[in-house]
Amino acid sequence: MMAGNELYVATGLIVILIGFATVLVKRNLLKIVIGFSLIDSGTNLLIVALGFYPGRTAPIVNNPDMLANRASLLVNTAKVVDPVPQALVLTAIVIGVGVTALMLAYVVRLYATGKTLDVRQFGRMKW
Amino acid sequence: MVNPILLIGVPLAVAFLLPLVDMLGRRTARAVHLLTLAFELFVAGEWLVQFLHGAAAVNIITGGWAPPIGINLRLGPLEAALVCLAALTGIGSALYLAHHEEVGSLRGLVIQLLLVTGAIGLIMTRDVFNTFVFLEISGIGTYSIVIFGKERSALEAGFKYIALGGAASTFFLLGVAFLYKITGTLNLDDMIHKLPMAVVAGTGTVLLLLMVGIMSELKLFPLNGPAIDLYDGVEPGVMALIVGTTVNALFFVFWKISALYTGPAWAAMFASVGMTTFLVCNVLAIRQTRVRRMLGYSSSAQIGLLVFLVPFVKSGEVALSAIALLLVNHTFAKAGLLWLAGTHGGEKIKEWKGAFSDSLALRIALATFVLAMTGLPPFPGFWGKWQALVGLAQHGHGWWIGAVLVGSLFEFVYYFGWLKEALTPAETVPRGAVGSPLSEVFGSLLYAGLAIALGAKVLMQVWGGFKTPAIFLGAAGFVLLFIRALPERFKAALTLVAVAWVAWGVFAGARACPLWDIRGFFLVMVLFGAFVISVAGLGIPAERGSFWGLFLILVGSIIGILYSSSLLGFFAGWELMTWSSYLLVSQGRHGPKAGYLYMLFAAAAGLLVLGGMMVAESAGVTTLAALVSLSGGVALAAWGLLAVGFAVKVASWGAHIWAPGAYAESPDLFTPFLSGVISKIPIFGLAAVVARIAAPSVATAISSISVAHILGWVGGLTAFGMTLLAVFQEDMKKLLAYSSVGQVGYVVLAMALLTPLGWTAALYYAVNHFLFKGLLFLAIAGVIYRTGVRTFADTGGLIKRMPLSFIAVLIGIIALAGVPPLSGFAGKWLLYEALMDKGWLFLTAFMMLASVMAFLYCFRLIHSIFLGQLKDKDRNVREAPWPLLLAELLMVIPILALSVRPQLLIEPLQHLVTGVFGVPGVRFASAATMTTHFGYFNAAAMMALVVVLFLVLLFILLTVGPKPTKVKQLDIVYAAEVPPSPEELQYAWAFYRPYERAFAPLLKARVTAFWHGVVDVVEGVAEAGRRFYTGNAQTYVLYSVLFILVLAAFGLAR
Amino acid sequence: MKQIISIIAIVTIGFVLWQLVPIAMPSGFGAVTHHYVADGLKDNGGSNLVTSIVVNYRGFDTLGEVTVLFLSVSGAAFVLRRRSGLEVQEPVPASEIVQTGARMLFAPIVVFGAYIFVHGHLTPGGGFQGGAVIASGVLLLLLANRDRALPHGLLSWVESLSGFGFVLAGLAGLIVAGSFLANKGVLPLGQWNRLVSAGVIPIIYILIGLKVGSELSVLLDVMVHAAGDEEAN
Repeated sequence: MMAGNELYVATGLIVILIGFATVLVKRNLLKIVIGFSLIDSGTNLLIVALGFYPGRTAPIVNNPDMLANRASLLVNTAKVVDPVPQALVLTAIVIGVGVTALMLAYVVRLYATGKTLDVRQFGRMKW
Repeated sequence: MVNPILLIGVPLAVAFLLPLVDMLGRRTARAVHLLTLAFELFVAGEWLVQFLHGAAAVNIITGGWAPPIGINLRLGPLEAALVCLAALTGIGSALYLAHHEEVGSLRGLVIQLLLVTGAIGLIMTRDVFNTFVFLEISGIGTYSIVIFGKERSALEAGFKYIALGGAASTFFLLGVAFLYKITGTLNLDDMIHKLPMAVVAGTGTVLLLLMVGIMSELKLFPLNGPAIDLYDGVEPGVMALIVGTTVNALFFVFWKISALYTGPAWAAMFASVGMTTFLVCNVLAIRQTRVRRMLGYSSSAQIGLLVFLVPFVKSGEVALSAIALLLVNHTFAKAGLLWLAGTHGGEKIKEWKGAFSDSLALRIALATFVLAMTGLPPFPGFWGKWQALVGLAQHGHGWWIGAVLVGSLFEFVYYFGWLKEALTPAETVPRGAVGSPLSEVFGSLLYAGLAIALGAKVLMQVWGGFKTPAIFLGAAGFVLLFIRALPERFKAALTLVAVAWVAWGVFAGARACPLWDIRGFFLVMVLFGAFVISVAGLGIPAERGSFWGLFLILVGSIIGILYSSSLLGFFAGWELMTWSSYLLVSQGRHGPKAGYLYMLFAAAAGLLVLGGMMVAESAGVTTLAALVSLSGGVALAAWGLLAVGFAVKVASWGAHIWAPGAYAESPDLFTPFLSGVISKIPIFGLAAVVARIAAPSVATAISSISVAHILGWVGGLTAFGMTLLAVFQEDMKKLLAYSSVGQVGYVVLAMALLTPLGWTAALYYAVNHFLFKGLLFLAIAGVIYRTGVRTFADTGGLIKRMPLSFIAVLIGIIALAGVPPLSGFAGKWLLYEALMDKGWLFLTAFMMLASVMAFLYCFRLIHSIFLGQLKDKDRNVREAPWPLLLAELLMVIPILALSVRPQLLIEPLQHLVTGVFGVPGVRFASAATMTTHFGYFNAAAMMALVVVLFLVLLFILLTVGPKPTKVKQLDIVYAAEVPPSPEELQYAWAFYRPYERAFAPLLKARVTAFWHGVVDVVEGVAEAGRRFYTGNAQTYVLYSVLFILVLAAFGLAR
Repeated sequence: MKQIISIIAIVTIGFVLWQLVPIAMPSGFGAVTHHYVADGLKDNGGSNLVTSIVVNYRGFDTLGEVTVLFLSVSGAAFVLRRRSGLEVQEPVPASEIVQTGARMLFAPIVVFGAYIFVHGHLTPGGGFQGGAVIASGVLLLLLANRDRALPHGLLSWVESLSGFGFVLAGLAGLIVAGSFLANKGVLPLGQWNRLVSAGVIPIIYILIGLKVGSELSVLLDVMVHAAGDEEAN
């Protein structure tokens, strides 16, 4: 059942779920931010795993063996894993950094104004 | 033509360079920012013009690779329009925020520019991962910029928004990644092509994840908690920017990606979620006390409506222009309202009393936006909603239509509740635009102007150009609104000229007598009534500067109704009439509160009429003439809805509680028109619209009663009930108000007879009512103007000081009472004849009873005001101003003419009636004698008889009778009692108290209690529903997870 | 109570999402991916196929990503602009090992980071990775001495000009090759596996590396000084 990359995908999924659990259950703002960070990591892991093919190598042609046709520089597609998810994750990581930075900035300001890190204290605006 | 890639390339380059430009000075940076936005507007605008001329959409590739290898963008008419809106809103907000210390800072400018760019990217991209990247740009831009505003609230709102946004983007990204794995591509068009063939187990869940990601960005219920907080806590100028850029772009993303979701299950899901959002958010908005929070719920609701419409547009059932118009309308109005809210500064609705009383332009802008948001014409939202409903109707979606109408009614409740506060004068110094620089209000004024311009353009397509009387008057009224410098009487004169011109234009070229058809009949009444009011206006100055402008718009709208041949044209005029009369009613001193109730019932009536029209549209009927083709259950439904709608508008019993307030509190100059003319337009509706549909029969368990009979009873009950209530009134205008409503009940009853005689009676009575009610209101206006009071107990004995007014009122009440010799008698006679002819004998007796009761209040009018003893304060009152008397004379002349020769009106009516029924109602045995089944009537002979009798009696009194002695007012020694000091013996207060005791059970305010109950239920639901938004960030994220589960269950169930 | 519901919800969602796991089974490359892999070297001249996707085929995404980072740093700087009365804790001065190590290691770290982004088209890595490494060098400096003043002006110039340079490279592609961010025809592709090859790609990655490095440094600076007296613009 667990062939190839399914294990990694499942792991990514579990990390995401743990991240969500942290976000929903923990009261401390910083822990919630860590939860989001976990979600990001899990997502990235899952996406990279989606592109994984067992037995293949990284999509970097540093060896003439990886070429299917040396004259025309065509690469042998059976030798490398899927590079697209890796490219996507590259972008996703950076975006995750940006959002996390902003979230932390918010936490700093929230703490400065509310003198607490308890998320339940920041629910003044409602219904 | 500029390469569209520059729409993204240029602002990005500028944004990166802005910190360097800032070293040259903040002003330079601001100027560069604005120039960039102007560039965007110019480029997108140029392309939009091309597309509107039929050019094909352009495809822009990047990286040198065509899709699906490379990422591509598309610019088509939709995209170009949305980019223009984004750029415009960007400019408006940039100007608004220019003086804002923080948002105007360098980083603030960068974030503003990148928000616009992010939105443009979202609009143009055709790649799903690229969509994700731009989603994050927009998201982060939003997270950054929301810090403006009240410190703590903005931070809280922002954090909740980030939290939910984090969850949403995770769902979206996971969806994208899995879709890539399933279809092998990231290009949207390629994916749409490949997905149906590549479906594997779990695809549905993947699509669901993607969709929940988009839905939480779109702020659909139940995921809109943080978004509402944003509206509440964030600086409004910033929120306006977000509305015009990101919200629109997000909706367009939804539009694009929904192509992946084929099949009826997904369509049903979108429609359900959208409609749920629309209904729930509109209800919850009712209990809001904070302005911007209320606007947030409204935004959610509007987006919900748009999302609801998407599956129907995609399947071709609803036209694309419906969504386009609604979206444009929302952008203009919501951004405008937010800018205004920022300028005004009041956070709670109660703080808006007397808003913008120092700026006419801003007041008009506020009214414009509220009217636009509630879907009133001529604004784009009206046309969009109509098209959406027509599309739904033509494909049989009756329940959905009902939901849209109910949700729309809620919108009226809270938007006009707010406008009511704004129109109410403030006790203390009101807030306004004092000191606001032009740049701050530029956006609001621009969008108000655009909304009006776009709306007017569409209206002219439906009604015709400037040569059309309706458009001419409407435009004239609009112009007059802005002219404040002229004295009121002069404006009245201008109005008079305008009305006269139109009347001459309409009637001079008429080949036949205008009274011969239904339209001409009412046209004469409207134009004559408007003319008379303008004459009166020369004597009594209007209290507010915008009176005559609104009045002309109102008259124009009524003419538009009369001239319409299509259902759309009719309804457009109808709603125009509703809001212009509402604004006029609200001009009285206690007007706004009464006006609000008026608006609610008028809106409900309008929605009922709309519902009826949609039933007709579902059978393919689009013009008034085609209504005859309806039959069966469809005809019954249409007939019922339309008839009830018109009945509610004339304040039939059950829906009458708004009338006394509206009539009494409206400006005295307006009430005659409200009572005389506006109450007749629903009669026109019954004649021109309802009657065209063959009145279906509804068999009940007892016997076969036709629905027309039910309508007749409604009219009869109204007549009786209102007359009864009028008897016990202490306020002059309220008494006349009840009387007015009751009299129109007679007309409704007669119309419901659906016989030639019945219609003759109804229309003759309608004209009479117009004349004598108008006369009475005008005369009372004169009394109120001179004495300053409105209650009976405060007046008396005015016959000595205002003899001409006395005569006017006397003529009025004799006509009203329906006693010979005046014209009212012919009306009553025709009515009884018609009722007996049809066989509704119980109603005949009932109406006779009501007519007798009417004597009671007629007497009150004469006695308490003019007879009896003159009060000290009134010793020196003068007669009413002469123009007012002239206006009254203009009403008296037709009354007298009709009293002697009713044929003047009845002969043309026979033409009209024959045109409808094929046979006339009455026959003329001779030139002056009318006959029906039951008898005959010769008015001239009657008048001669009465005059002779009167003269004989007068002669006897003066010569043979005992000589009267003149005494001073307070000398009452003849009463066989000598009071210790001179005192007033005027008996005016609680005049009919004994009768009140007798009628007490009937007088219980049951209807009012019923409506209070309805309001309580709605408010209770709203209050309970509000608690859903607990304000806790984690709860909102939890809602998103639960939402996925709910939708998954929904999917499994299908 | 809410926590229990949350846990139950998470577990349920887990079961729902579990059915997605089999989707991850390796299937063949789709047509698009096939092109990226088979023709990637031929089209762009760079050995790192991921780089040729990130900078050329899907270069528009990268432009967006750069914007995201720029925006979030601006945003964070904006959020933290005001000093809102957080007490400034007296920092414990870093130990001598850290201070000396920082001074010694900063230069090699920067060089390493530069190596990563200069060789982005040949080896794993690229602009973002290299820039992050450089920023970690800056972090080390700040850990050693919290009050170290970073050259804001220089960083600002670098940030702006490198971002602008990226857009210019794209426009060059538009003017020369007819498409924004095109690579073919703008600069010669050269021989693969050489440092100077792959057309415009290394230039773009250098620009990105500089931008990310300076940006993340500014971010660190903003966060370290979030409690303090001056206003960061």
